[in-house]
Amino acid sequence: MQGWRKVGALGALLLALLLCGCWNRHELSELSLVVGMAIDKAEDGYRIAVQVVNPGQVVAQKGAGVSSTVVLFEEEGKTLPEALGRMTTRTPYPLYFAHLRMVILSEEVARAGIAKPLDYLSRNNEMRNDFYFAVARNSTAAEVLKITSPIESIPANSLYTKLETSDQVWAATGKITLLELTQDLATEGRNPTLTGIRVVGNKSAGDSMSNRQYIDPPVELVYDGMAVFHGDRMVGWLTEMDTKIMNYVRNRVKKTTAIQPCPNPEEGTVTLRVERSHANIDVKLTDGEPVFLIDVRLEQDIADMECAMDLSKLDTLYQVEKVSNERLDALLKSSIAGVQRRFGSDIYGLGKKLHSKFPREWASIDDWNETFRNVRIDVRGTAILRRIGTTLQPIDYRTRE
Amino acid sequence: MHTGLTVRGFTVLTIMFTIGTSILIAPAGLAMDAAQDAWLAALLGLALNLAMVGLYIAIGERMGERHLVAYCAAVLGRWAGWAVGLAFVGFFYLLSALMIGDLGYFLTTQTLTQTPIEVLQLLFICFVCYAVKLGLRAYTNTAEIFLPWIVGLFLVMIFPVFSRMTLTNFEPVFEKGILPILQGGWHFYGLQEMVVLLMIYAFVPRHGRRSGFVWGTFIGGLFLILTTLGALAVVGPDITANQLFPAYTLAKNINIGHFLERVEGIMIFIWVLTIFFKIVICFHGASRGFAFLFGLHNEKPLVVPMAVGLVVLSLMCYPNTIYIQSFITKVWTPFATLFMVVLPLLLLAVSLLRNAAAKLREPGDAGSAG
Repeated sequence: MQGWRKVGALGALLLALLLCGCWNRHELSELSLVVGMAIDKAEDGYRIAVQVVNPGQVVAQKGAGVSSTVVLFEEEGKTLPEALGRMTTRTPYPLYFAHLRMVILSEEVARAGIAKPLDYLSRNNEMRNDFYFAVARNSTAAEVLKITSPIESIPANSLYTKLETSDQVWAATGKITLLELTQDLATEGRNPTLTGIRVVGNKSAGDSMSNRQYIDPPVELVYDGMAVFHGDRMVGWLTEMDTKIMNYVRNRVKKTTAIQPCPNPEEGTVTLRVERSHANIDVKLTDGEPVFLIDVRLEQDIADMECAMDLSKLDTLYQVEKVSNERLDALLKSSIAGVQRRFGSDIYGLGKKLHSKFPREWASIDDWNETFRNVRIDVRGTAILRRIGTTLQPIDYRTRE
Repeated sequence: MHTGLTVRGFTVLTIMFTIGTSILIAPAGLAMDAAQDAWLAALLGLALNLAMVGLYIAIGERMGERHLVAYCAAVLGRWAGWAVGLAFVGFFYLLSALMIGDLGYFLTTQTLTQTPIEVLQLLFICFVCYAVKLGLRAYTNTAEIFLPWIVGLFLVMIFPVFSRMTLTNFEPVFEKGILPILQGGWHFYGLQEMVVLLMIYAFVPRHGRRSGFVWGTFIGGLFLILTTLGALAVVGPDITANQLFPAYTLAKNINIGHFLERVEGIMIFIWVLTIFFKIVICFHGASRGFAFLFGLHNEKPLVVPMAVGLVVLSLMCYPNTIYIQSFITKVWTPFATLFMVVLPLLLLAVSLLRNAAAKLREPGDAGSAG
């Protein structure tokens, strides 16, 4: 008898344990899944827009496509949580952030400083770390979330996968997570950058499912360059090439494409596919002044050949390699010098390297970014050619004059 | 007294005891003091802990068949021994209450935000009571069953971390000199109150228990050092210092090709399990000591009433999260040192003196003081 009593008591306890979670239960059908968030400046505080999934329309079924797959809610508030709280007067269910994919900041918010709006995102326990940030280049942040996406039915998901893909193969964008962003903000001697996003086409046409009915949609979202920050304030835009160079230096490039002119430029260009890239930053002290050496090594294949060159000769290959080396060197030099001069913001993390290697000298520097403006940076680009694809000569090799 | 406790079981309990609480919160305190040198501070803390274990073994080997509170009475005499024993019991009880508080605040901050903290704590205490009532052997066997799970899950969590390390996060070494590292090590040592294990030590088979104690502390310490290294390498010293639960943040950031991700549940599992054993050991020690002080043969009738007090005490001790932070960093280490170093040293010294005195007086009478 005694034994059965114990079993019963234990069983009751186990059941009670499950009840504990019920206090915190979220029914999937009673949540508004937020996939995108846009932060704009309002007169007093922020104007927040959230893109919420409309679950009935996402799953393809008969009759679907009548209403839109996502709904955008907008609300103003002095702070983010206030705006989001007030938003419940518009949304049918509580907002749920664990599936957040994209956070879009307006340029105005970025220029005013992102530390304040970010605090809520890093403090909230529902937020995960797998969403990306982008800064709207030619529209408000909310407008970015108002544009439908082709193929992928949820626009924020489309932005997410678009960024992942271009990061994989093109390298002129940056998928920056909350952790990376806060790390860059917290690290002295390294400044953050965030990818830019541009609305291309007729803005007002995007806000309807009809935009998805065209083969060539009248409006699209395109990632374009990156925003440079000085501390938490945005100071300007990087071009596509500057972004790529920065990604080389910060070891973020997975694959990308580079072009260079033929020895005889009239014939056209050689396109190289960068398959591997590794950068190393070194710093030395010369007369007490730091001198940096940025060493970038690329491994590349020939992807496209327009020149009349005999590729079967080893010399030709070396010639292409030499041009490619020189070009990489020149690009690194001019791009980095440009960033030094125009922004005076160390987006490469050189200061962090100086701090690591020479902590005492680092301690004597008051304003690193000011020092960064005039610091000497040597670059060394080494590009190795590995493969030439599946064919040897250009296809018109025999018939060409 | 035969309890059926094995040396292996004792080692496992020591491992659990070392990991409990510390694995979740230690990296933050370490990084706050020593920044990128936090891992060195953890190493230093482990060394300090091992030194403490040396002291406890020296005492433990003199205790005969008695636990710590009984030994106090034997060494210091009836009144002084009773008072010191009561102080130890109070310390163990307070420690249990603080851990119940840690547990409640962690769960209500990170996962079960809407569940009242009291409910979580009460339910947890029910299981603690159950374990303590079943006795030492039962919960040691349970710990032995769960240890492979903890080790396995820990490896699942820590291996991906080491593929994403940023080694420059550890540079520059010794930037602010040795002082911050000493400070970090000092706070780290204060989180592992190994003295509680002296309540059990006397009931472990003599052969091999010394190395079991040392190995248990060492292995548990390795877990903590690896976690600290991981947090520094992936999250970075600045962010680690700014997290309430850095190890949880670390687990949140694990992502291998969208295949292995959202593993923070593992972290909760490891932490709740290890803190469970730590609470059980502390609370069992407290109830046992209390029973001895009041001449009860069995601590079991005391378990439930004392457990109810735990919840109340934990809520009184920890009014809010920031209080926990500043309490642990500022107050706890010096306070705990009283029980972890000062009183054990006093016990050892008095016991040695009494032995020497007894030898002088009457060669045949030696050893009566224990």
